[in-house]
Amino acid sequence: MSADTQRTHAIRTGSSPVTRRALLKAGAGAAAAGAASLALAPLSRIAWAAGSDEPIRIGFQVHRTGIGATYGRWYERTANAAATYLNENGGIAGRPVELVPEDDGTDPKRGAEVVEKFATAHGVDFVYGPLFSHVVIGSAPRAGELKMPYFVVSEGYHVASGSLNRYVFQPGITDVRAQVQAMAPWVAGNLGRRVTMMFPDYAFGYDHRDYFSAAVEAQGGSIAAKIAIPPTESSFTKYFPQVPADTEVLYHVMVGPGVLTFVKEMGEHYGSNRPQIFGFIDSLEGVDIASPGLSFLEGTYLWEALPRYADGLDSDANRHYRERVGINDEGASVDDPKDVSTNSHMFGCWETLFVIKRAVEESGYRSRNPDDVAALIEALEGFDSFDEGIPHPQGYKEFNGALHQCYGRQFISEVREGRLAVVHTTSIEDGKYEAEADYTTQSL
Amino acid sequence: MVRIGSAVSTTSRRLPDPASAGSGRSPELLYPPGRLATVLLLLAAAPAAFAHAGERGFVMLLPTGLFQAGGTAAVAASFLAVAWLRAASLLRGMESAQWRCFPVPRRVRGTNAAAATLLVVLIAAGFAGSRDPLANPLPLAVWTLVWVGLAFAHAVFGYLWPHLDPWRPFASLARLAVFGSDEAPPPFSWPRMLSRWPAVALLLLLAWFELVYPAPRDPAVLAMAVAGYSVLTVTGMVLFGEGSWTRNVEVFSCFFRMVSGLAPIRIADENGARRLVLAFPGSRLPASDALPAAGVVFVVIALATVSFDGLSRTFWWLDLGGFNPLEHPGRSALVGWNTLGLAAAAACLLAAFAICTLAGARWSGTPAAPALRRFVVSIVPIAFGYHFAHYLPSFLVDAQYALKALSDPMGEGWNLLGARELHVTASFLTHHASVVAIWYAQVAAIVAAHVIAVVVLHALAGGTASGRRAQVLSQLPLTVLMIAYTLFGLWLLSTPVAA
Repeated sequence: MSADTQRTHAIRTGSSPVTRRALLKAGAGAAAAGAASLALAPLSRIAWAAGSDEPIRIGFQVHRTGIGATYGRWYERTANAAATYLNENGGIAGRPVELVPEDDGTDPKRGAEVVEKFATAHGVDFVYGPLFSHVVIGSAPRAGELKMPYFVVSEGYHVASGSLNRYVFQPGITDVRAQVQAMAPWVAGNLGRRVTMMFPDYAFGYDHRDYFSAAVEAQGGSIAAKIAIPPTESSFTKYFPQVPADTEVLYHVMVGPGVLTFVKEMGEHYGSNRPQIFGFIDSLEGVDIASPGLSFLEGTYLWEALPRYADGLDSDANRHYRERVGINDEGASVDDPKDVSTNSHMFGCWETLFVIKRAVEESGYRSRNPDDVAALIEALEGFDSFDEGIPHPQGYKEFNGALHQCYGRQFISEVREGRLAVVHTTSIEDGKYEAEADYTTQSL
Repeated sequence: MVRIGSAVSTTSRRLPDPASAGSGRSPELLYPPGRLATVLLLLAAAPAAFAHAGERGFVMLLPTGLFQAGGTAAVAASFLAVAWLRAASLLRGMESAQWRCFPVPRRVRGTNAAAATLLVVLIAAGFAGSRDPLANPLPLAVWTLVWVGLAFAHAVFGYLWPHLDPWRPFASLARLAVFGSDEAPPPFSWPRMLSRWPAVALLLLLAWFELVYPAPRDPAVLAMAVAGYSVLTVTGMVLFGEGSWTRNVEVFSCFFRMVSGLAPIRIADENGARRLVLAFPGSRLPASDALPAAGVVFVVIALATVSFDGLSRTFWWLDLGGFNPLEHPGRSALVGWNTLGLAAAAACLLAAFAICTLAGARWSGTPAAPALRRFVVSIVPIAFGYHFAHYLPSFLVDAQYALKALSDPMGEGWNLLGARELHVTASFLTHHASVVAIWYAQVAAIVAAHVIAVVVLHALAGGTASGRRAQVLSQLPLTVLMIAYTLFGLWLLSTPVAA
């Protein structure tokens, strides 16, 4: 499009999906390229750089159906909020951002098919968005074969482990290994050094068992017992008597519909005479902490990646992020205060899109030809940190270009009066572990 | 735009040097390659663990065992209560308990044409609209508004489908084009030997597509399926006539006709005037015609498929197949196991119905064939009760998406119904009070459906056996099955599920 045919229509804003048609309708027009000042006040009308109004098309692989649908709903909302914000502020390299959604059904095989569809049918520049680790693990090889930059928001250790490939990045959320390890210093120093772990008897539970037990022992603590609970268990009363009497901290990471029963039965078992209790918000993402049955959580502690309640992280960037996504001070939807968000995970969708923006702009990426893709990958691998601010409301992050993984601070919150109150913020150092991979040695 | 590739342009990029890192916060994560194999082994199974704690988690806190016992006892008690009544009296009572209400206007014409237009728009949207199954109106229209919403509507308002059938106008046009007249009789009569078996086959196919196929909500896949089914239906209607085709093949017609037998509302034609008539739900079922063998199988399979839909999500079923329910492997990995399960559910329920009905006929000394062909109607309330209870939560969410998608069917930024900016909420599935309220509604539907079934069965027994003892004996095994099925249905609503 030549300069004399520039269009200057306002871009669609609000919560609407950022689709190609929306963008074309919005008639993105001139200018604002590189004007990524990311000011707090959005520009109400912007225009796209002359001759560069072809959108950056990002395949949004979303868990719309299947077991991940609850998360998918919030991931979609966050991704659209980020894309809308970018488009109001100059887009990416002066080009509008277009999200192309495809449902993977939270299904690894379909995930791989969706990646292929993005590359062949939709002709997107990058793919982004999957959360569930088994979907990431099932989809990533296809992304590698297709040389498709693939940005996951999964918090799995699979990226940093080196088990995927050079085209896969996780720049928006810390991996679970670092998260778990970062808990140990505070838990050992404040709650107790004699820990019993209760975890589901499969790989997710084993990650916690192995990473946390090693980390707490490094802090001078010890593990009193490791109690693995079969995934199909729906009553837990027979497991609590197995907790040794000298336990100072009970570390639990139960997930699934049995969590509430677990908490209730834990309360019935211990009454008021209980050890300190520490868990992960994963168990209760999207659930009101003040729900009946959860009263026993009062006075216990939970990991959060980003505090659910606004007062847990009082920063301009976080306030801006929450406002744009549409979550209130209690971490629920502004449209429906009972609709609790998945706040400890979905910020990764926001932050990842800004990392993509930076990589595109710094690498000079224009289209998915091999040279531009290589330049983009190498630009990403050259990043070493992301400053806290509107693009990174969760906080400052280090990025390891060899591992394709970012590392940020974590939060520990206490349940007080049915709310979560942040009592500690970890340092990035707390979660560091010995690296075991280097993707940059793989050819592009 | 300045390319900065020079700074990072080599693939043999050095690992970050902690000493040279900016602001002293550079990564220090170094890497001995020999440990990669260990990590790969460790990470081979590193799944996420985000199975949701909400909806079913709250239900599991309720005294569900008491509800199961109470609901089952209520159905058993309702059998004991009606068993004292003469079946013939019950039948007469059910038929006569009608309340003629207000007159209603003549039906609106053009509904079929509107439905046909909508069908074309929806298929076009399936191919060209959003790829998001919750933004594209086709999957929402088919699976939410038609398969669930219209089933609910038929159970209340009776057989509406002839007025909403989108294929009839196309059949008229095709007849006009081929034979020069819409009045032309169909060139073929329906082969009697085929009976309603094609409808049975299509019901199984539809159920498999919905419950087992990995991507039934993919807009393009569904658009292809709907377009193909539309061609089949219109061709069939032209060749064999609408009456034969909708009675013997067209699965939506058959399903909605079956469900409409429950409707407490109907429009009676009284000397050309139309009047709304109220009756007890299911009260017209005992007067239904005896069904052919294929019709019997259709009704039983309708119950089997929706029952299996519930069962297939339970921890019990996934564990039985060797799948960890907390790391649900996705539908693709379950195609074989769930195909087997769907077939087994249909076979088991058919066998259970046949064995119970035949046992009753044998004990009571009544002929077996009429019992099989007539008693099956009593399963209709249960099939709908399951349909309602099973789909209610997802219907409440997806109906919002449907409204939103229909406001902008082609993703063009339209706002036809004013709902484009609607924020869809599912908080009632994660909030304790509403979860419990929905669960009560589901339990009530299951129990009420079985109570109606038991009453209808007793009324039907009057038509196949004479004498109270023979009537009770003839229905006893099937009644026991219904009581057991109540327990099963309430267990399905209470047990941990993976999706």
